Amino acid sequence: MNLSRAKTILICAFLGLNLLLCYHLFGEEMGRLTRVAVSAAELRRAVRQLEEAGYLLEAKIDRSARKSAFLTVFPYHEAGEMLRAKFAPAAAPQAGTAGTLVYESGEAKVELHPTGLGRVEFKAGRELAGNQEPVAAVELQLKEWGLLYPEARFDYLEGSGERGVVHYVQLCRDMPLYSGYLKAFLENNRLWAVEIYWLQADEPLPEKVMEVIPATEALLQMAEHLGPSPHPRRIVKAELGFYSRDYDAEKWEVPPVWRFLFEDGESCFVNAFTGNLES
Amino acid sequence: MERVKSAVLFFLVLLSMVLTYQLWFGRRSAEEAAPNGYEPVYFEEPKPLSQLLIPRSILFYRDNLCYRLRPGEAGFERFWEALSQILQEMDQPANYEYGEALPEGAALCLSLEFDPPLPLGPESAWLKDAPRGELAGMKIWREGERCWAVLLAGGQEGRPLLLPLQRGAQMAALCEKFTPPESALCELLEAGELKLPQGRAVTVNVPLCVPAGEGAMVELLLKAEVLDRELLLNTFFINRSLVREIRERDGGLIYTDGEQGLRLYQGLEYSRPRIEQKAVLLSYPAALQAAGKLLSYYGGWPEKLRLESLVPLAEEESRPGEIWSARWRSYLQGYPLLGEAEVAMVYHQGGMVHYRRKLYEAPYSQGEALVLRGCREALAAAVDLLAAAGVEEYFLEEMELAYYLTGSSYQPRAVPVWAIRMSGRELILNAHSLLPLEGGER
Repeated sequence: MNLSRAKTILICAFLGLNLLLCYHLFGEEMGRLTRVAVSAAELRRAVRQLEEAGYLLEAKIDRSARKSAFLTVFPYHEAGEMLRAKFAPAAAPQAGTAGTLVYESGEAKVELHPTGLGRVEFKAGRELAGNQEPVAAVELQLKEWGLLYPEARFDYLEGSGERGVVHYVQLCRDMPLYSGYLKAFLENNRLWAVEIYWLQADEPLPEKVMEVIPATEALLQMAEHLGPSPHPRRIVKAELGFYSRDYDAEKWEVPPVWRFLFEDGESCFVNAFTGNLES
Repeated sequence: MERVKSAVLFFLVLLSMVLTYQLWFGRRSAEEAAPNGYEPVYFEEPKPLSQLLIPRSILFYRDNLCYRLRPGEAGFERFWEALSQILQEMDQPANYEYGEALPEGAALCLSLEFDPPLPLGPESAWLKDAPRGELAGMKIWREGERCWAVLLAGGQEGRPLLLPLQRGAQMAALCEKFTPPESALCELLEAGELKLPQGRAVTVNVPLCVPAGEGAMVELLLKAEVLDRELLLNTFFINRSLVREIRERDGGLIYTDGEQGLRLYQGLEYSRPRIEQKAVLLSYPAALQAAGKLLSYYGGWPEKLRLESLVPLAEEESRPGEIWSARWRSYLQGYPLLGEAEVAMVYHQGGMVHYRRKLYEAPYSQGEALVLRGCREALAAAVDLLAAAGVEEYFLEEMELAYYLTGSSYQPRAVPVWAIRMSGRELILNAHSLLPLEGGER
């Protein structure tokens, strides 16, 4: 036999053998890099099960395998302090309930809670710019006051411009941190109050990063916890973020959650590690 | 070209050998593979049933005098060890029945009170062949080297049981050799009206044994129990990676995985409200055993801790006997430490629902021993307090000397007190000054 040909055949044979060995050794890891957490069939099945329980999924579902870690947060008291400096700079503090400090000026009342929550109420309301959608008008006003931080993202409008609440959520590393929020209270095209609760976060430790449960699993867990709905409820947003209730604490860890927003403005948070409801 | 082919072939052969080796030996065997993160961890091995309960009190009688022996004292330990051993050896009490009555010459030697009661029967360590029951008390009578036990179960005294001769002789010798301390001398307050100084009087509901005369006790400086936090967390949470930490402003630390929560601040508080396992009815001995096991696992048994109560809870979502409540107290120099210093547990067969543990040890005493006021003076002070609160009738239900937790969280102290339950109210009076302690009245 021709030696050159024999070498070619052997090269092909060993190449095939090596590919086979590589597949056995690294196939699983390679598959993990590309795999989706939710297949189309699983998504269809979940949608059907949700419908049977009275929940209509109208939100886009992230089907990729996601990872996350606990986020260590602590209150950003400067946010409330900014309200005081802006709307009641010369007012003396008065003691309110549960350790709250109240500052009152001619036009506004500012409340600073020990947890870090700040709230300003405008006695006569503030006229918003006309000819604009309520959300755009509020945004303009908040920007003018310097209250709309770069990490604030519009979340949803509850109610309407006649009487409604514009919700902003804090972003942290490009993911919503639902525990941090800004709310603007509207009525008859006037801004009546602004509430802000902002958090600071430590960098999560890379070794604590873990895979989260798929969105469909979280949806089914939510349906199980909430029980069947007597009338159809539409889920309009489904997103991975961070959330825990606020604590009167120095520092705490916030778990990653799947947040499902219903059309009526109610949010449901499912712990993305355990599948438990976060209340 | 041929050289290149040879080089490629050589490389591929080499690579195939490396990959084959990797595939063959590179993966760790199942034994070597990392565990799934669950390692059973606990503070200590559970104690046997026979060591979970001790009597509430042991009264020792000699020469028409009565002495109260307290938990932790040498006499108490010696008598209870001997009697517990006898009860464990006597399988069937019927085999030891002596007759209707004790011999005329027999004298009362010891009297034990069990609260919570001692379980009897097949599931118990004591009188294993006896029908299921609970022993509330026991009296030991003696004549020469023979001893009889009279058991109090089901609210009535049983027939005298003649203790095995050798054991009886040992018990008689123990009684003979024992010299009770003067401070243990007691006075028996008979049921009925009791006259107090300055014309006052109380009605004693049940006979009570109280310290005679004016005793003396030292004030104690306490040190809070320190538990290994890492071990504690690993005991409660199987998967630590799901546990998050909340650092409270007051210095408290909360750990939770959403299902269960543990708060560490001046002791520990744990809660797991959702019961996942199917509830199982627990008998009294099984509940006792389960409580002992849980206490051993979650914090362990410090010295001189006594089980004070063990009762089934009647919760809305469960049948009686599924969920139990247990409470332990520390004993310092023989006296219970009252106040916010105890272990309380609500549990079922599958684990704990609530657990609160705040314990102290007393490494130092402070100053000279304080002379304590007598029981009649204490009762008179209690009557004055109740009268000021508008109470007109005074029924004494219980009265004992104890320590009470007071002082700051930096330096907790234990002060001697009279703990009095009268007309449905609990009063804690400083045993030296007879002034009520803040937070002591309930």
